Amino acid sequence: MPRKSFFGKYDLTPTTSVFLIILMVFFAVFLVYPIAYVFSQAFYLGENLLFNVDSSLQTELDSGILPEDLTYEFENNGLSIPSESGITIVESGSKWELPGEDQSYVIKSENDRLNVYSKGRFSFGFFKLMVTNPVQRQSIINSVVLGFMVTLATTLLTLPLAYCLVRYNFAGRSLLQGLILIPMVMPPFVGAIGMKQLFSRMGSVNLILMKLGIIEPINAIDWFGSGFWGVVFLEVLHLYPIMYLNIAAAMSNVDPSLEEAAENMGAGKLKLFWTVTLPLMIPGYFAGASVVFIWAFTDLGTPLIFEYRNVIPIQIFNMVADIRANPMGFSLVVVVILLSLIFFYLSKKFMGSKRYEMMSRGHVDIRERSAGKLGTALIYAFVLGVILISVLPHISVAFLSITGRWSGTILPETVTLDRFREISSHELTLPSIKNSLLYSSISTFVDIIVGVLIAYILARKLIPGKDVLDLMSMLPLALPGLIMAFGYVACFSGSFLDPRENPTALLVIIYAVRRLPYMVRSAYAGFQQTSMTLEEASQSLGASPLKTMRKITFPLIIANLVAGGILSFAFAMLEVSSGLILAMKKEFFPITKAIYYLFGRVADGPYIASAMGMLGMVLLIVSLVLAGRFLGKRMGELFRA
Amino acid sequence: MIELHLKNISKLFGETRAVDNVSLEVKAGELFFLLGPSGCGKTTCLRTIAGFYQPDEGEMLFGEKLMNKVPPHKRNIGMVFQNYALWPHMTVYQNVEYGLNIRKLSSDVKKEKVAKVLEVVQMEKYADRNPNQLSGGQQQRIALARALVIEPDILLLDEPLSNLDAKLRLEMRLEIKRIHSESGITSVYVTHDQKEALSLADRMAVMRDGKIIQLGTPREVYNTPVNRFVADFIGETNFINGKLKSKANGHFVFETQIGEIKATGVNISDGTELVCSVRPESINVSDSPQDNAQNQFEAEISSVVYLGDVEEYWVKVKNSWDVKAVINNPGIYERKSGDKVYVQFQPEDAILLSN
Repeated sequence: MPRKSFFGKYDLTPTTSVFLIILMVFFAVFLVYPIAYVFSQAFYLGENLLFNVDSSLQTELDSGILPEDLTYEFENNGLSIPSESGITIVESGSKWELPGEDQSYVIKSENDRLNVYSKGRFSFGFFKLMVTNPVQRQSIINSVVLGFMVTLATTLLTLPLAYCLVRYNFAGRSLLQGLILIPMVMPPFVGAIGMKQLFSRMGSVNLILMKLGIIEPINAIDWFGSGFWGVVFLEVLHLYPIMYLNIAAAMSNVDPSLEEAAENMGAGKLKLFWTVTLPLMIPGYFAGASVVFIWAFTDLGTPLIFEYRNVIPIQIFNMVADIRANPMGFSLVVVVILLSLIFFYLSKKFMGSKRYEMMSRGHVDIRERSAGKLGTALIYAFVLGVILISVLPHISVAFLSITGRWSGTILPETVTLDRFREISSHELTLPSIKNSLLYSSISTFVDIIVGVLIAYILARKLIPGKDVLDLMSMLPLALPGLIMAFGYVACFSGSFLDPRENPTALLVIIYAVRRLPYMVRSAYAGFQQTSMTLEEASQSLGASPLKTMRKITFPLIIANLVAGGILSFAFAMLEVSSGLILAMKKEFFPITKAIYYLFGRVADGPYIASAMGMLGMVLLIVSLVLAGRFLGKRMGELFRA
Repeated sequence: MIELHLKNISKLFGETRAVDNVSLEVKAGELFFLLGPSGCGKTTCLRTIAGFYQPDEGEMLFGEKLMNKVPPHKRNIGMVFQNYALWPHMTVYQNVEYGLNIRKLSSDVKKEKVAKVLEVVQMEKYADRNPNQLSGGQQQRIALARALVIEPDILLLDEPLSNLDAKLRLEMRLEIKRIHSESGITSVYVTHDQKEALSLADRMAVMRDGKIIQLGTPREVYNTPVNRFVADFIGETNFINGKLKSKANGHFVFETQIGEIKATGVNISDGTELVCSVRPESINVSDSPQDNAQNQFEAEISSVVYLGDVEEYWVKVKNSWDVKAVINNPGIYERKSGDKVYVQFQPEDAILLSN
């Protein structure tokens, strides 16, 4: 490779430098600035209305001299201001400022009144409010409890699942390993629509119990109560595959000789698991757990459907509307960012530098034993049971989508394709599908190009500030869509990117940024697995660097790129919170927001939303199956913090 | 055929001088070796010749042409990598053909050249295989064929045999020797295996810490090492410390813990600390004292390692100097540890070196 060194040891060709500069500017504007802005607002006590006066004084104010009558009006309001007349009023835009001794004021004219505000200042006020205001306090507690419950439940469900599927060998194992991933193909808030149907007071579950004579209609069970357990249930069912992929990978990466050494010294099975296997798995487990926690902690769609309203994501969602008037939203966002970053940092720290090493280590002999006949039967019963429960939401959504009416009966009464006919003609359907495809494909395209370049630089080049580049391209993993979308609204309202006008650019950017880590990771893994000497051999035979890239590097990592691209695409299609927040006009709705919107329709909302959900699901299944084909066993590595 | 000149070449990685002021000249058609322990800068030196690194100081010339800034793909170099670097997504044939494709040759010419080179490395039957279906030795041959087929000006070999097992290594050594003498390409071969270097090299450079310590033919380097490092690195040897007592017409007397040793000095300068090196194969072991022996000492055998063709003794000379001696045709003796013996060696085999 021709290395034109500008700064001694670094490989900074002009092309690389330009790319890096553009990239850094992009990250600065679309990643760092929104966060920094949110922080600055969260600690900023905005302008505070002190009093107002009649605005008949408008004309005098324009003259730049404080009229004596104004003082009079102020006094009438029972408030004191700098009393001496003749204070210069500084005009700035539509505001006038009265510079004071220790506090300055802002006067704005609104309607027929003049409002006098105290000027904004640094404050911890809103954080104090989170503790003192019972509603805010409760929402934080609720969200944290929700996050922990979901993490705990997925852990308890996944550990035995992974143990069965990793450590035992039996017929059909790889099929079960594939089936486990099914729940990922639908955002849980769509499933929630179906689950509400199944578990409502007169839903299928209660009806079955009544039929069996276990309960009386009069005391039908209120399954989800406030909605909390509904949310936990749905999120666990959606997230356990991510946890499974991490735990299974961690488990199969435990060096068998380490376990054999412990057995050799007389450790029994349980002791062995507790003292050797589990500690060795902790980094991998933590990587999965932090993703699950942050996900549950910031999920917006599911609580919305279950109307479990007092949680942070919904609070933030509601505050987007009056983002200028109430800075509480900023403070909540800061809390979420801090929590996410802490988890992200901890998981990074736990994983240490081992992560990539594991990726490139190739085959590790897995300790597995034959399950035997009884064991196989038990494993099948357990795993299929879990899978069956986890596809319940999907099944119920499917039922909802093909029925005209489902109420008071165990199964839908009628079967009809009307819903699909209806959505195919609905004004939202086609545009929303088109929008989703547009946003997702542009963002995926951007991700592939940028992701490959970043991965190439990280894997092959010596540049200054490599750690910063690495951090920036991984940071989006720690930033929930909700937070980024909120930051974008706050930062870019009023600019030419204003989501109120046309959110396309911001949606594409947010999709691209949020999926970039997956793309960088899969491409990076590809470069890691491709020895540099393969490229050097090509160059020494006379192929230019570009030709080498085309003939050697690219064909060798294409599988990784395709897999990363498909995943980026699939998850962009699944994005819920950023779409809910950023797409404000109907014509720009992505599928997920269209589903949410349709769900709110009186009478046939759930049915028609389910039909839309089915369409999205089919689209996703196809993409994920394709990705799995290309990526095979390495799928798990993409779902780590 | 082209000669290669390195003039005061240095390559820095940060503060480290990986290659430090190296000057050498590889004659046209020569098989030149860069030999040294790991981390000595030999691979960096090779990669600088290949163009993967640019030298920070000095000049590199292929023939008359200054190559410092020429990118690797414009150097017409054939390189054999330590891990072979065969492209897994191409067949053997495609791997070999690659360089010819770049050179845009007609398909007839390509076919002919690939067939010929595969014949040279005796791999004509494997053209349609994938590289990962080949054994290490076979991959090695393909890597060599791929480098040779473009008829490079210079052939670079980076530890090409280090991934092979011992027997295959011997076989491939002969192969490389044969192929080199047939093709006559100016070649630079990097290795840490002194036997490879001694058996194949026309000339060699022994490197340490980025510098060339000694340049010469295998015989020169083995028989007259310039210092203790070279003597130790090239082959096995026994060292003993001492003081120079007298020197007259090339005859040196070296005062040591076991007494005086009559020795030879070649590369020593006055005032430096000296050490005497005696190679195991130049030490004779006898049961009784020999007449007219120059350096003869009483010794006791500490251990015996029988290797079939030779036998290695560890003997303690005068209860203080542990010496290794290698005896040919060991079948006729049956010595065991504890036996009292005598060791002798010629003054010309006791080489005085700077420490």
